[in-house]
Amino acid sequence: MTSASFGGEASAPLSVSQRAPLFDWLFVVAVIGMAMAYVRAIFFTPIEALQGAAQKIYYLHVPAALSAYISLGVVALTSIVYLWLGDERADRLAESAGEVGLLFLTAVLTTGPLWGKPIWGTWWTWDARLTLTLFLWFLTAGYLVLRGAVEDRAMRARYSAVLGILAALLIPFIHLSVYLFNTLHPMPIVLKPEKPSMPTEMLVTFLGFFAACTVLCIALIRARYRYGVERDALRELESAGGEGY
Amino acid sequence: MVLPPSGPPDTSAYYHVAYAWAAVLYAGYAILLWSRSRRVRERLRVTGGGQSDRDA
Repeated sequence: MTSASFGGEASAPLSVSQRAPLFDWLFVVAVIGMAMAYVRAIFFTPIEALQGAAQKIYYLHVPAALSAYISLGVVALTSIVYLWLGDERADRLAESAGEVGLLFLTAVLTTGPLWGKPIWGTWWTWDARLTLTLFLWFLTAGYLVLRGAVEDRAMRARYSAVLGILAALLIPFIHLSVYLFNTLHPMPIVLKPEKPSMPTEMLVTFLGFFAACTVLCIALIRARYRYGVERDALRELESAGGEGY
Repeated sequence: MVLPPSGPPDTSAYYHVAYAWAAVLYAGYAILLWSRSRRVRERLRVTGGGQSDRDA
């Protein structure tokens, strides 16, 4: 794909995206869903007998981790599509999902210690799962920094696609780390081959949070993609203006 | 495992901070995105990129 076709594609959807609001109906659904999940977790879910109220951090922490996995999975898939077809929309979607993935990874790495301190007695431990998740955060941050550092659009897309695919390879290791290594982190309670080991009322809260968080993740990726279309159109206009002078 | 006679331990402070922090984080990102988009739309309007929109 040539750089000329990038410009042509970027300017075409501009008028549509400018008319479309950044946050659409899906974002409204996500906000309502998150509000309902918060209310259910805070007021209508029992307090766990051994850990106390801190166990409720689970409903935030695990869906944020799963949303990060989804986002970075989208980065990997769209990066493969970009390397295969050279479609700039795939690259823009990968960029959007990468940024949203970093947001959810930040949520995971900050809510985790808030749960760990009262239960484990420490904010942080260099346990396999925690350390691998921190590595994934750095890789994702590096992915976004790389995108900002390379000027040439096609090269930026290609380099970051390779990094995005490699970063996503960490996800199965993170999920399986509790089986592969001797770790302080608890085993999966819901995402395991057997039946979830959790009372039904807690499981319903978890599933509600997971659904709301997933919708929020998709809504944010969509909004970030729209922003990317506008930003690319602006760059195109500015570079065309610069060439004119 | 023996449950403490006084019931579950009071770990509510951590839970309150985690829920408040997550809400701030998600809302903060949405506001940041909206702000970035507003700046770009403004620049598009100034550079004439919004012309086709108004005409449409």
